[in-house]
Amino acid sequence: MTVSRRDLLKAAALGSVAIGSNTLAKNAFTEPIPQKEAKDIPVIVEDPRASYLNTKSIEDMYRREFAETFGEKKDHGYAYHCVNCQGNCAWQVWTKDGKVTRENQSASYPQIAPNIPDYNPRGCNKGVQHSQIMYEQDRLLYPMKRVGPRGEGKWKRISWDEAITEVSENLYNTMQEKGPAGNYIHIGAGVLTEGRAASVKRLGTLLGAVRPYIASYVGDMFPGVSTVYGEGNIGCTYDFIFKTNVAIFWGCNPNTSRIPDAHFLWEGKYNGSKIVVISPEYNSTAIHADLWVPIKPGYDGHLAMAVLNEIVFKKMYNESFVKEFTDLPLLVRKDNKELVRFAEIDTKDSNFDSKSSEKLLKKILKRELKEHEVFLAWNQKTNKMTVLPGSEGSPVETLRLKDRGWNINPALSGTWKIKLKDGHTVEVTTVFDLFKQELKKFDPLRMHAVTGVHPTIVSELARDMIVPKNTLVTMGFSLGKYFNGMLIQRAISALTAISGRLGESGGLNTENEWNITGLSGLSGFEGKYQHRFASGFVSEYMLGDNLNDYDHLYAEAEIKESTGLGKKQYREKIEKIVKDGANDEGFKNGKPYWTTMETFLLFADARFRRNKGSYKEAFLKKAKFIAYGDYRMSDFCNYADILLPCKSHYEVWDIRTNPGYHRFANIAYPPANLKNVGEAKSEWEISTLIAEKIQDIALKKYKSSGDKKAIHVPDTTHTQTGFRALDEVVNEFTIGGKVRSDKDAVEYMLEHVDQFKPNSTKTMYERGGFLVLNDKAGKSSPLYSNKPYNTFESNKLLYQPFETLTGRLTFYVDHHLWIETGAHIPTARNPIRPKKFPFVLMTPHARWSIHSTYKTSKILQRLQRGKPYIMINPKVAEAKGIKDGDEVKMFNDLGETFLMAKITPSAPEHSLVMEHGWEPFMYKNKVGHNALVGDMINLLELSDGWGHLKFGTNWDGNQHAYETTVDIVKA
Amino acid sequence: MHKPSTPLLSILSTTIVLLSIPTMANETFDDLVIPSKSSFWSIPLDAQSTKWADIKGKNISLAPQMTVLLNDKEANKAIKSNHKKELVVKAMTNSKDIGLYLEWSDESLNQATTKETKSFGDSVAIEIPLKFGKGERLPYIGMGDEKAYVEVDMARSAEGKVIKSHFVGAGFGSLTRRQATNHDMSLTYDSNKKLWRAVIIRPIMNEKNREIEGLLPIAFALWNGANNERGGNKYLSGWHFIKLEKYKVSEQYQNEMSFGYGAKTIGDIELGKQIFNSTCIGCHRSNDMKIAPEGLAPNLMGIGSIASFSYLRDSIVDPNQVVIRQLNINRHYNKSEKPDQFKAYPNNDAFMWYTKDEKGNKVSKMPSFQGLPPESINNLVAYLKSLK
Amino acid sequence: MSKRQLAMVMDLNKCIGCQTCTVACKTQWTNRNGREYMYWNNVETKPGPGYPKKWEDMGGGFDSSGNLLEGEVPGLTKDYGVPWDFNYDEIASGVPLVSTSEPKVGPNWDEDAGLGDFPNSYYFYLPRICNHCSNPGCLSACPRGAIFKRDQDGIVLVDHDRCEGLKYCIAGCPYKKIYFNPKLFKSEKCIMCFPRIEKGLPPACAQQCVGRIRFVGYLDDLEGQVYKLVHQYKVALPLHSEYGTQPNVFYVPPLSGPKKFDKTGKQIEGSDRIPLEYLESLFGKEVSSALKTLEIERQKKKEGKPSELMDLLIAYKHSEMFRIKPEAKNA
Repeated sequence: MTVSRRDLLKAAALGSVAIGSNTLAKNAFTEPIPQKEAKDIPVIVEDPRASYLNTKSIEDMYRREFAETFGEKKDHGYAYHCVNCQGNCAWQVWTKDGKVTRENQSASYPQIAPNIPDYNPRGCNKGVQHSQIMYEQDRLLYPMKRVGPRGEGKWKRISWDEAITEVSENLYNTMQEKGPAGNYIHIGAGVLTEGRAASVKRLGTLLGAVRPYIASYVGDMFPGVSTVYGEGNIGCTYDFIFKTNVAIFWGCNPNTSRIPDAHFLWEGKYNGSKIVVISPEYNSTAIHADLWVPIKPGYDGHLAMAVLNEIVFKKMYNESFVKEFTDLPLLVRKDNKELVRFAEIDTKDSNFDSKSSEKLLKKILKRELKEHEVFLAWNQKTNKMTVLPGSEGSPVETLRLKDRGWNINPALSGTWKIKLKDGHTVEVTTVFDLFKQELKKFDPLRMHAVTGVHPTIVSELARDMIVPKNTLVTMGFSLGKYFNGMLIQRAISALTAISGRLGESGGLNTENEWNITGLSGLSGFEGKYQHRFASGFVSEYMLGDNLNDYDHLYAEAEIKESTGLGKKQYREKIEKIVKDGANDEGFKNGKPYWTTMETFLLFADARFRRNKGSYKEAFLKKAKFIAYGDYRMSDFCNYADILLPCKSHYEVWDIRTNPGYHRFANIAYPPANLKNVGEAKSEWEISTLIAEKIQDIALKKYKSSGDKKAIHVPDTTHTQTGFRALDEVVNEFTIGGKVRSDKDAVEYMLEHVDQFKPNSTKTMYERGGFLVLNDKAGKSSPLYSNKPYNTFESNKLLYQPFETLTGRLTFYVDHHLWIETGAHIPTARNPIRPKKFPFVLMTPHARWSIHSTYKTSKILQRLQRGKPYIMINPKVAEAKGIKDGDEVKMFNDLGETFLMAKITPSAPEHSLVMEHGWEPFMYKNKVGHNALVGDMINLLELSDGWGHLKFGTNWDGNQHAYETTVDIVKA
Repeated sequence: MHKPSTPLLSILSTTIVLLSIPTMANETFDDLVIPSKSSFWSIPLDAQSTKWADIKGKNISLAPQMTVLLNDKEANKAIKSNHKKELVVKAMTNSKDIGLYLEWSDESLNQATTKETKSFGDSVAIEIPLKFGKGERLPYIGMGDEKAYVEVDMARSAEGKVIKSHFVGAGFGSLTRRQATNHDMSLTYDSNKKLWRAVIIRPIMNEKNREIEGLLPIAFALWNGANNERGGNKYLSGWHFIKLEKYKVSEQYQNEMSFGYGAKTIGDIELGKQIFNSTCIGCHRSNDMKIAPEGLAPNLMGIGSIASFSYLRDSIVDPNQVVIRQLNINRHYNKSEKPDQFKAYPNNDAFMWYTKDEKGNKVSKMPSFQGLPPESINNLVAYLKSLK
Repeated sequence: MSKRQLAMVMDLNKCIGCQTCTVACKTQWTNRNGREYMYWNNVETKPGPGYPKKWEDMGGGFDSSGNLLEGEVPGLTKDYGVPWDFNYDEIASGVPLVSTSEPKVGPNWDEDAGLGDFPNSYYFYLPRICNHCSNPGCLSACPRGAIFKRDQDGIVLVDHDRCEGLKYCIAGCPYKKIYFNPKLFKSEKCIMCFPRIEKGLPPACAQQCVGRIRFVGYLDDLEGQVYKLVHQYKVALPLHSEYGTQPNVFYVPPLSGPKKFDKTGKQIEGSDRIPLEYLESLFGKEVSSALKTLEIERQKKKEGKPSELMDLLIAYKHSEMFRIKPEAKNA
């Protein structure tokens, strides 16, 4: 039978707690006068301000109501809201009669030092209402099977066993017919924690399924930062901001999108720090800033280059720092623009300082000399070319220029002739000289018209970067969402690098990540099985046939302007690289999967909200089977074949550490006696059930057929054994039966993670739902117990090399693609935008949702406008005859969407601003703004295999989102 | 306990003399008397019942409450001092109950609703003294006073239902909910005729008052939700009397109650006005005199429409007998006095209508004008009664 | 008049407009029983019409000599905004998620809008709760005397046994911070979370304020931040003191924010982005000296000198922002 939608989402079954209904005073509107109130003598109140007799009756009413929300302390749980804001805040969960009533921040984090503000009460406007949506009428209560066409909304309630069987059969059959790469198993940004997310990842890795990289498909990568620093996630705990002299927020809006940490800015301001905000719109952080820089969207790279121009040509930089820590002194061949490598030079050449190089080339301990990864500079002390220590291929693991055996003062400028092994003599110069040449193009005066930033502000920024004791630049995720975002990030990184700021003195802050060890047992299988890890941005882009959007949206000239190549030429380049790289035979580490998958097991993944243009249509065509797990009826649910009702944040066990905005790991500890919501299960429970069912199916098949392939699925590229052993799945998945549930996972982590020690669920509960990471958590700096954390202290003080090819802060990349496109040196490129539409569509992070999570909450919607709206500058609105509250149509060549107009001078005239995260089904015709967003893969982000630019968590491209122009009319 | 004090009686005696002075015709006591029909059967709650149709109604006029000014801007804007409302009253009694049929026209149906914060339900109420009879002066018309309580039965229209309430009162702001067994009400709007019909049924007497005089004092109030009317923003009548068919009317009681009525006049309005303008306008406002600050003393605009001759006389001759409650005394604080440590200013005593003597009895701030010659008093009463 | 007065100071320089306070209050008190439309705590963008819409034009309060002024009763549909629901139970059948009533006005309708011309426009956030005034407009307007001030802490409450739902209090409050509950047919308002305080928990809006902008304490507690900010440093000012109710919620006014730009995009030295006249219209003439004090003290910190005022406002320890134990020092 097909059940009606009302049976389907049985709100009645939930009966969200009606607090007070039985404790309130008599409802005078509906009820007769209660006897007890009746009096024969009129009560006279002479002066209620002076004295009042009957205070207790109303006081008791509110006391009773409070008691009903508070319940009993012993029943309280702890939780955080493990979505993609990564705030990670400890909340106390209040319950009454087995139902959650509300949440209150735990507010019990310890203060690390008396002169540093503490982290309490950590938690925002979204976390504070999870208790309300967890019992909302859109909550998924039972497993469901689709009985009509996708999206039509016809469902049949089924049992858990039916659901698990159907999912497992599909996964199994796909493995048999297409091999492991036919499956795609993924838990999305709705659950980003070490504990909970590990369940689905573990299952996927065990079965050899494809898994995309979240950070790159949501466009939250920092490839430009990795280029310079060797890693993308660098920076500080937010209390570090309190100690800054200047704190610059570039392309981010912490008052809106980093709510739990924002107080450190304004407490820092009171502490004497200068707060600078660089953003196109007058956002909620800018209003409290000392300096706001209203930049034209997408020209941040140009501004960074202009500031660099000021710093370099006014010689404001610290020369010795630049020589010790950057690759600017490195020698480059003028003929082919490649870095001079030890492997290619003639060591007998008199220009080569073999004496001091000798020590630098001698093998120390385990470090081998890799001649191709040793680089050279011109030593002014000897007026000869010398190899430098600290690079990937150097046996000497230090950046020290003076030590026993060598004393180098590398030249920053000059041109020399050197002899190569092959006998040729070539002219060489320094990276610094090439950089200066490039910087000439970005003179602050010339940039004024481009960026909209006045030269006086450029020099103010230059001074702020160099002069103060502690300057910190915090870079937002938004910059990576421009087509040339990688170059923007790289230019800003070059700026913080040349300012000589590491550790104590500030520098660049993207998103600090703690060093968490001991989890490999939970996430992997000691190398026995490799996962099929797909680059988020390429795989999603190709899966969604987005190349077609590119053709629709962009004109020849626009592509040429921002890539230097013609439209056709550019597309062909991309297509070739992508084609050559496809699937197991492609790049190593399995970067590119987009052609093999047909069976999808997904959790907490708002695909169609996130992806652009024609993605939805293309995806649905390719996906033969979709099983989807979520706790509520989100937009994507409508397109699944099987729906799996999941537990939400207050119902599961979990631990969350990263990212490192703070030094605490929080625990999700369900309230005592919490009643189960419908038949919801945790991701761990579901994954275990699937593992059991697959093994069951495999063994049966083997029994009947006797064919070994029924239990041993061949996989030569991603297993040590050459096959996936399906007769062992349960044992391997549960680590010999140890980890079957979310609670097991939490206990496993507390047992194995070094940085958590010494702790247990009990100590975490008693402390208030968290633990304090021990000193092992610091990566490139120690995590002091009484000081805010910032990265790269060890590099600065101990001269430890960076995780880059040269071991130095890297300005220069001589990858052939980069040289070809003139990006071998930091530079800036114009955005890629259709000129025929007048307005840039800006969709910054929302205050009211974490991407799509909580966007549908009625409590939060009432504090917005109840439907998708767009912010329009009054002058634009007037010209278009649009009034506040009007419905407007926003359109371009990719489509149209309908929005409510909100008129505000906070929006610039050249752009339309709209908080992101609206789910497609919240728009008229279910067509969201992302349908209007086109994108092109950036060639440079595709490049791979150069030094530290190898595909992985530090090097991958971004799906872009900010390169669309649109127009609007009153609907 | 409410034993009439001697001065009051003495005035009453003098008044009988005055009654005989023949001059122009005035409001007669009969105008105040509502006949009632006695029935063997139960009194129909249904206003449409033929039993009600058979009774001829009495037209009563209601005037806006002007004595105190409340603080709802829109409601105040709607008040028209000279505007009157007509209420048709029919009365029916049986062995234990009295029933009142009330009918008035209203352009719009207004109901209190759970869907709007600014909805005001059309309402009706009757007021009856808790005690009455020979030697008992009538309570202050505005929900009684602290020496003479009233009972109030009220019906408010609200989202299809009727909110029925029963109170006992001793003046402004003192209404107190009270057990109301055997009271019932109906309230229905006739959208064709654009009028309200209410039926209020209650015991004919309350136990506390055994002495029956054949006349039951009663007053009426109406609220029009369309004008934000509720509480003190209302239309009210002066005291009327239901003639209880089954009982004999006590002559003495009728005399006490009818003081001033029927006579051509009890005094010279013009002379009364002169006295008023020379002695009263410092504290009281009236139809054309608005010198006194609002709230300093009861506003006498239209007082003639709601106050009886005897009440007016009593309040002039012995104000302490008829001390009336004022609205919340926090409505006026004294800026010239020193505030406390939390900047709280004390209330402004100038706006107090009464003080308390050592025994804690309320003493009206208005001096007694007993000293005035009787005819001056009558002139003043005549003038005040003429304010409509 | 109450023996003691519990008061709150809100630092507008730390307010980020996140509304965590608003939602904390909602789940604690107003998500039920006819209160759904009420925001005992709301945060509005200023300049702007606020909540309820244009409340500053609705009258109430007292005239300069202490006499109650008449005022208006806001309408749910017109001024507060109907708390719209959504068709959650229908989306599984493939229809779009839409509100059950057309959104026309709401408690945060003009969020981040402000006034002026880009790039020189301006706005800031103004959180509002009941001011628990020393001469409360609501209490004074109630013809029944059903609203009282607690002796021990000056918290203003409505006695539901006595309230007849006449709504004069709503007209009387110039801040429109007392609400009519159409379901209970009684007035209700912020109760300063006294039941939480009795259990040692600060008010939800204050304890759960992630921006750490709220101090709660007794006005006569000489050791407390409230006393120091209001009386010692005089940097915390009442909102619209001209309304004459003597509010007991105080605000640290917003510093002007980033400098304005001239036509070429150059910063205009010494320019006030937020016009002083506007701040004076909210916080009175005292606002300029309060702002000066803040600037001077911040400069000290910039120069590495100590400043007790800045340290107070920084509030190093969240738990110490609340001095709600009745035994907190009594002057």
